[in-house]
Amino acid sequence: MTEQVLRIENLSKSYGSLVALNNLNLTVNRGEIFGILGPNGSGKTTTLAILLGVILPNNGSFKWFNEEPSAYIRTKIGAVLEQPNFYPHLSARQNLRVVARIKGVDDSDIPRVLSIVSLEHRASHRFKTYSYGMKQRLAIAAALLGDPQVLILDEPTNGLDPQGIAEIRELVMKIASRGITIIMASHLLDEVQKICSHVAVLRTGNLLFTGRVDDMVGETTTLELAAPDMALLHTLLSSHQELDSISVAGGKILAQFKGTADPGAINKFLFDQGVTLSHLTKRQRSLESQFLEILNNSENPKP
Amino acid sequence: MIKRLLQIEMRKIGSYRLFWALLAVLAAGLAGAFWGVESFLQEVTSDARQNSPIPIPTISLYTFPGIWHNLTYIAGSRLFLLFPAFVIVLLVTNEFTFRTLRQNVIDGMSRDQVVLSKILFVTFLSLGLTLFVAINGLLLGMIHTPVADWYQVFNKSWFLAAFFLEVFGFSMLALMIGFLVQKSIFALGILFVYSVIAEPIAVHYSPEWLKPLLPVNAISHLIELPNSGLMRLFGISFKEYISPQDAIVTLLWCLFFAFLAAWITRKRNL
Ligand SMILES: Nc1ncnc2c1ncn2[C@@H]1O[C@H](COP(=O)(O)OP(=O)(O)O)[C@@H](O)[C@H]1O
Ligand SMILES: [Mg+2]
Repeated sequence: MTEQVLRIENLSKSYGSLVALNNLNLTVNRGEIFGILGPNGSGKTTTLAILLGVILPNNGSFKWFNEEPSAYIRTKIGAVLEQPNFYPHLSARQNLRVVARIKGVDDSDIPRVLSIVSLEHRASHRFKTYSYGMKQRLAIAAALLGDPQVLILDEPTNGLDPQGIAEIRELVMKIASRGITIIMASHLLDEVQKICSHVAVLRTGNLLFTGRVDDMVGETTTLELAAPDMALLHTLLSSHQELDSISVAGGKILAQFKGTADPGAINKFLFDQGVTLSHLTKRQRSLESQFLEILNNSENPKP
Repeated sequence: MIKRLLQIEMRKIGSYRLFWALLAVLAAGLAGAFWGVESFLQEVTSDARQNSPIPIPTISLYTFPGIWHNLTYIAGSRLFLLFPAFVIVLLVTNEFTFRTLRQNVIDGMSRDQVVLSKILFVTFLSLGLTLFVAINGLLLGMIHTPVADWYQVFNKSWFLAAFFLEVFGFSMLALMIGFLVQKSIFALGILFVYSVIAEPIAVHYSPEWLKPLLPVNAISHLIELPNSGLMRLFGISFKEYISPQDAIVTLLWCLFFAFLAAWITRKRNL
């Protein structure tokens, strides 16, 4: 049986007349890399802030590890919400000592988390002297104190340069490979696709989709094909360089191609080899197109 | 839990230069006032003695047991009380400015614990200051009292307890303002304007029964001006004891400040 790490029921939050979160229901199971995907202002931070006890919901409830939320439960969760929050006048190590004491973690864990984020050599420098990327890494180090079962990251690559983004993504995947459950908010489809196993898509506080990332967006294109000579078609498709997998169902061939294969080009490739198709359709992925539309609208706001 | 919360607060201070600088200035100011005030007073009284038909007795400020009253009166002046209070305002509002209060909660403190840890720190700071005054008092007293037995030394040392209450009460007012206002500049301004200007004016215009109930007034009346030979000359006499009423009023205000800070912190989004 899968172990529930988090269960959210009917969670709602309004700021005055603005509904930031509308009746959210969600479960996250152990070992998932769970992405909360949505454009800016869709309620990602609000959701995480409620789960971490800093924003009070108007309605609904949630449970961590099947327990009612409490300060104690939060010591078992590592979290970075929005920007890194530290005492600027203290060094990285001193800041981690504060967090360690709050979490009830022994100070001997500090060198371990510092080395995970490669900050050992800067540990005695004051936080205010850090670059933004280093601050973000220190925040992840603090979240890893005590080796929590769950790690929460809110747009961890926001505001970073390409190199910083690559570093953080690599770091998250490294942490994930150790079996920690990760809940990560992001407005980047690409980022969620690269990192996450599961996803919840939010728009203006409403849940549009939740499930496996593969079910929402494939990095493959599936074509349904048929031809008079099915055997030849199968052989030719199998020889195609971009083919990912092939199967036969209901008298038709389902061929999965890597990337966004162009049906026209496939058709021409087959025709050149002497196969005339009697059937060709592209499987629709409605959520993908829907989400891309949402993202496009939010990233390039119309004047 | 108390130990954990206090440790968290101590770790937050760490090498915070501004905090240690403020504390050093306060310590230097207090020590300067303690060790320098007598020579000043001696001059004034000797001037008076020369022109006076009646003999004025020379009473050192620094002999046991009167020294406790004298030193705590000096250390409890508004100027010195504002210092630890400003430090507390700074430490509380910093938590909002740096959003570390939010992070503390995320990391696993409850909202009540956030407030309680600051109250514990206020207690700790007040005790530290009281200890500082006590050590200065013991040193000065031993130098200046010809012969003293233990009874004489500690006879009036409960003025130290009153001093603790003054620092604690005033810093609790600062704590409450810090949690309420969140912005350091505003909080510092409000604390200063209220305690130095607004309440004294209010006291002036309020009916007699109300005066001892106002917080800053109650706190500053815990220790009144010590009677000196000079004052006796003018026939003025202040109370030489600590009235339980002032102490109770101060403690009740402290409770109110603590609950107000906790209530507002429970209620709002961080
Ligand atoms: N403190 C606040 N007061 C009023 N509105 C807020 C506040 N915080 C967030 N909002 C609004 O709530 C909505 C959701 O915000 P947020 O959860 O931060 O979105 P996201 O993290 O997905 O970008 C937005 O419309 C935002 O403007
Ligand atoms: Mg956000």
